[in-house]
Amino acid sequence: MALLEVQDLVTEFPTRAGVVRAVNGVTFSVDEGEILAVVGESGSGKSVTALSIMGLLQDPGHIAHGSITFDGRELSALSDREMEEVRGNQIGMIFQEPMTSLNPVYRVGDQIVEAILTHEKIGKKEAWERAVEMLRVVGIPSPEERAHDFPHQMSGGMRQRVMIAMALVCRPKLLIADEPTTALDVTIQAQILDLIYRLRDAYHMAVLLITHDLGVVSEVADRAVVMYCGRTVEEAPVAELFMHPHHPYTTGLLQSIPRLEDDSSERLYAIEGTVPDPLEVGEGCPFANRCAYAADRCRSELPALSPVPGEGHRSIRCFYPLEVH
Amino acid sequence: MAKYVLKRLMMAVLVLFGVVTIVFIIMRAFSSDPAASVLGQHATAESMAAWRASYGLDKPLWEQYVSYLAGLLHGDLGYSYYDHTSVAGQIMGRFPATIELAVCAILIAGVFGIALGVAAAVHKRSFWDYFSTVVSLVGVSMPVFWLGILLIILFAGSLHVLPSTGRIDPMLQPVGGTGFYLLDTLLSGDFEAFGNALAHMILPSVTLAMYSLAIICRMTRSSMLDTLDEDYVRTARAKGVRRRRVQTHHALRNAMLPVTTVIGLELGSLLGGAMLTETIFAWPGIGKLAVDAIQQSDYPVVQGVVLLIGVIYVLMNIVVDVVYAYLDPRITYTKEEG
Amino acid sequence: MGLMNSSKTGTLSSRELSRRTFVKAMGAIAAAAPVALNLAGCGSQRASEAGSSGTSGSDSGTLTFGQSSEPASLDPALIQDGASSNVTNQIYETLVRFDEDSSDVQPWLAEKYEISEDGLTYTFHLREGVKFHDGTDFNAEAVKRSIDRQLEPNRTEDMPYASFNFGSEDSGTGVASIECPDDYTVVFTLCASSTPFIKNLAMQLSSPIVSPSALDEYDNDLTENPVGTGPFTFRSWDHDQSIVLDANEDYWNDDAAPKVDTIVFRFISETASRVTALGNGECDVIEGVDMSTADQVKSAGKEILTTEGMNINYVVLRTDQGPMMDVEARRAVRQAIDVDALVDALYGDYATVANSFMPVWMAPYDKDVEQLAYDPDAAAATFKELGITELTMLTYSSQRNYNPAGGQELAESIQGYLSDAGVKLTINSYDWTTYLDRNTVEDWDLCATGWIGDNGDPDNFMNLFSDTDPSINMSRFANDDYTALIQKGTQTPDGDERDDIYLQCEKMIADQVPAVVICHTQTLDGYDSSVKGLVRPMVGTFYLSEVSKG
Repeated sequence: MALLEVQDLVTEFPTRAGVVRAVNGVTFSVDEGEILAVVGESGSGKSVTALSIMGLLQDPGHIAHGSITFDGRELSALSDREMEEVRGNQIGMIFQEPMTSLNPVYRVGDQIVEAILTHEKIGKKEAWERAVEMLRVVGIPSPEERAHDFPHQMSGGMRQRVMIAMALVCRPKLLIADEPTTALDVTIQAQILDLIYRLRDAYHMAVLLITHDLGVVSEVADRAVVMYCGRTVEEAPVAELFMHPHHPYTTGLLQSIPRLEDDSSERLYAIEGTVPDPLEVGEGCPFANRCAYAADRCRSELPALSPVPGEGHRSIRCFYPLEVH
Repeated sequence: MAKYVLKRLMMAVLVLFGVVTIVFIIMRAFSSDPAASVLGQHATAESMAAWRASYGLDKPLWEQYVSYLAGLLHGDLGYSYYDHTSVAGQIMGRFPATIELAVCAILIAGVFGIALGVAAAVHKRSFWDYFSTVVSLVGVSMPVFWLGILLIILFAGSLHVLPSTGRIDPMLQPVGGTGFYLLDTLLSGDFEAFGNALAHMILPSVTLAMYSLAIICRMTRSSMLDTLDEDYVRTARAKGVRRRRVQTHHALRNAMLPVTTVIGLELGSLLGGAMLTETIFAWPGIGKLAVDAIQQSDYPVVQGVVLLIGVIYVLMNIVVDVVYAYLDPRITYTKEEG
Repeated sequence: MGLMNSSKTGTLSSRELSRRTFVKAMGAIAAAAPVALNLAGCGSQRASEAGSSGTSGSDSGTLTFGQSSEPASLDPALIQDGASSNVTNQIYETLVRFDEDSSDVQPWLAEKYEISEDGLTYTFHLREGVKFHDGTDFNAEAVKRSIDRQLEPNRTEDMPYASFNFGSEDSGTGVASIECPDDYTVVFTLCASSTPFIKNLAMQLSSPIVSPSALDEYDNDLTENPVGTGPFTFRSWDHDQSIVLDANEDYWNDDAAPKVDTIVFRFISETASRVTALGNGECDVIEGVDMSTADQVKSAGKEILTTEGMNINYVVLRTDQGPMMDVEARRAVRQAIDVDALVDALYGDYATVANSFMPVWMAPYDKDVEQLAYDPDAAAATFKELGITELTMLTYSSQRNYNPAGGQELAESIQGYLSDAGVKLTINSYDWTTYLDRNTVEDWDLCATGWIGDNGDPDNFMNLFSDTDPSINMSRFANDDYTALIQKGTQTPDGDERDDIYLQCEKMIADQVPAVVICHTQTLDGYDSSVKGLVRPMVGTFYLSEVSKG
């Protein structure tokens, strides 16, 4: 059984203008020890999915439908208190903005210690030592001194490492990383990704990596799930996804990646059209109005997410999936 | 940090100098003749002139100013025209009453204001939220003297459960000590007097606290609302930290930064003498002293009290800045600071 | 940074604000208070000495007196107000004393006295066996010292009543010398004879006798260290809070011995608070009750003491300039105002319409004096004839002892009457101290003012119209006949001849109208029904040794 299974998740936000379904049918699973990337553009609902899993949705958002099973337990049915025991302990999460994600008035060592002491009854001294050790593990030099620093005394990359240390100090089985490198320079990006990768190996933990950057996906992820308009549209092992995408949207995404060898005089490829307004969710496939291969059926009927026959761990939400080019 | 404080203190001296000068000029140029107050019904033009001459008030303004400043530099604040006691003595005698009242008021305002503000922020759009809005509006709009008299009439006049005026029953008055009756009576073990002093403290400090409470509540609420939305609060929840602790340890701790400033400045304002409250409750503090002195055109006392108030404000501002730096590690004064 | 000590153990910082700590602390105090209220005190450091337990409100041996302001001083030479004399009157005594119900004087510290034929020599025979509170003897030396320090050249500018009581060199009046032929005889020699002098000696301001050894010890200033011969001794003064007096065990006069053990004076400036303090039992007696609060006092279940005042509420008319220079114009102003109706409307039962400048109880010969009657038609006709269409009135804005309705209200009533008579009245109203400044420099035709008597002598009232100082003689009335009468009056001994002089003066005022007299107002005090024997003397303030509680 998979470590994390998300089935048909729907998350709603009632607003004055109407109900917004930020997540409108998401299904995927993460096995122990694997890195699953959730890919999609801004507004596709990937972050909301992560927050839904963690139970961190801000009022008035709520899970309207679907199930989230972690380690055999239905997370959406847990009480606040039970969920607090899961967070930080069994599932860790890091966020996109390391500059603002740490509390500015406490030392970083203390913040890591807090993560420990929330879940484990050990002495403060011991907790501090573990925190320092964790800082060393995530690659912070002179961790004994750095642990006494305040966040504003550290660079973005260092802070993200601290976040990782904090998220992993209790050895969770799953790490959810929501765009962990988006706000960092390219070189630091590489280091952080590398760190996540190595930690996954060292701790045998699963990673749910949320990103819009296909480059990141190709670097570290084992499998990937593509989301569009709050729905998962394709799920496949990474190599397969890149080499043999089945969904027109996936293809479009791949084509949009600029390549070094592209002729710079040509315009960059962009998928025609724009992402539809979440309030105006139509009946059919959300990608229909931009899909080069759309048929009438696509516009009126929503395709279900179905496994791709013969290819094991792949699924596709399309009436007319593309064949291999 | 020490250099910063020193610099601020030096600037403070300039500010105080300005304050003293302005009050000096205003009192002498615009207020009425102290001779009439002092000499009463039989004040003739002659006797008033003679009185003025004996106090040097017939000299040119600049000369009076210079001799006042000279006195100040020697620590001499002069003597009251009205009862001839030393201004410094009067002020120091009355100041503890104001301090005690101000501290009690700010405690009430702080505790209830923060609690209500937090409740309002954490339970948005609930009863607490609306209640806090009402409290804030009423607190800032309600005139102090109206509230004070209302409370007196209700609790003392009708219900007879609390005393109406004064700090303590005259027969229970502590002798010597710090001048803080609540403290003195406790320290000497006189519990009857302590209870009596506490009973006398309730109405005036509640009256005085209302305005500050309203402001602190509002400030806390909006500050909390901001911090609860911050990323680091989300991080804390993602760590599995208990909800209560996230609210206090993470959100409130940061929300308190601007609120601390507000509390400090409000305290400074209360220490400056809550004139209306002290008059209504016959509270013998520097606020009442100032009011009486102004009515009697008692220049030296007015100048002395205003100088004290200026000192309090200036010091309070410095203290607030220092405390802020203490609370927020991002703030540093050691480089260039102005 | 020095302040940033690293917490090596990594404990969460004790510097962090803990809201919970505050809440706990306040909770603790709130919980402790009711407990504390029930605990009996022991071994306390209190102002009250052993023997008086319990709070002043409940104790039948303690009288609590609430007044609106604090004394400026407890040295009789330095005071000029009722707030101060309320207190000093219990501590000090005078050679002679006013009766409670008239302005006549009786011997007090002096057993008897003689006045020479020419009115220049006063011989007092002092009572023996009287002691000051510090144990020293009351004798002629004490009298001499008490008065001498207020005579020129010892007199200072801070002695407001010294020149009134004892004269001044400029005016050629007052005390020339004081001799002590023996320990219990004092002889005053005056510069000029002065009938009011004996009354001055009875005044509670300036005239009370103080202890010479106290003068020595406290450098001639008894502001905070009063030592007298009176029924109460001084215990403590907590500034802006209270003054506590104790009964004088060794008081010389058994008939007038104090009936309470302690008096506490409390200072509550806000009237509503003072009334509540009375209603709440925190004060047994309060002064400074005015018409509007009298009802509140009664509805709180307390009593009102009403005493005829020694005052006059009046409006001066400017005789030295402007339209009021003409006596006919002034008469017209008087005729235009229906004083009876005005007094009834503004003051109700709390004032008596004035038919004379002095209150009739003080000057019984005034009872038949008549002012010009209300005659609006005659007034209007006169104004028209004289071409007077506009007048200006200066007034104070607040309430005064003699005018509890307030200066503004009085002015507006008059404005109404004058308007009916065809005259537009412009009112300039200022707060009290500004009004004092302005009334000698501004141009005005009418000015609201009042006078509170000092010594119960007719000269004290009537010489207002002969004084040369414009802040005293606001109307600037300068009539030689009048002035001559006034001068004669001070020299004439008490009796029918003297009475007649002042009757003439009153008639002249009624005829020449330098002022429109309005009313004499009553003084109101509030007290609890357990208080017995409270009487406010007609002249001066309370003798609290007569008061008992319970």
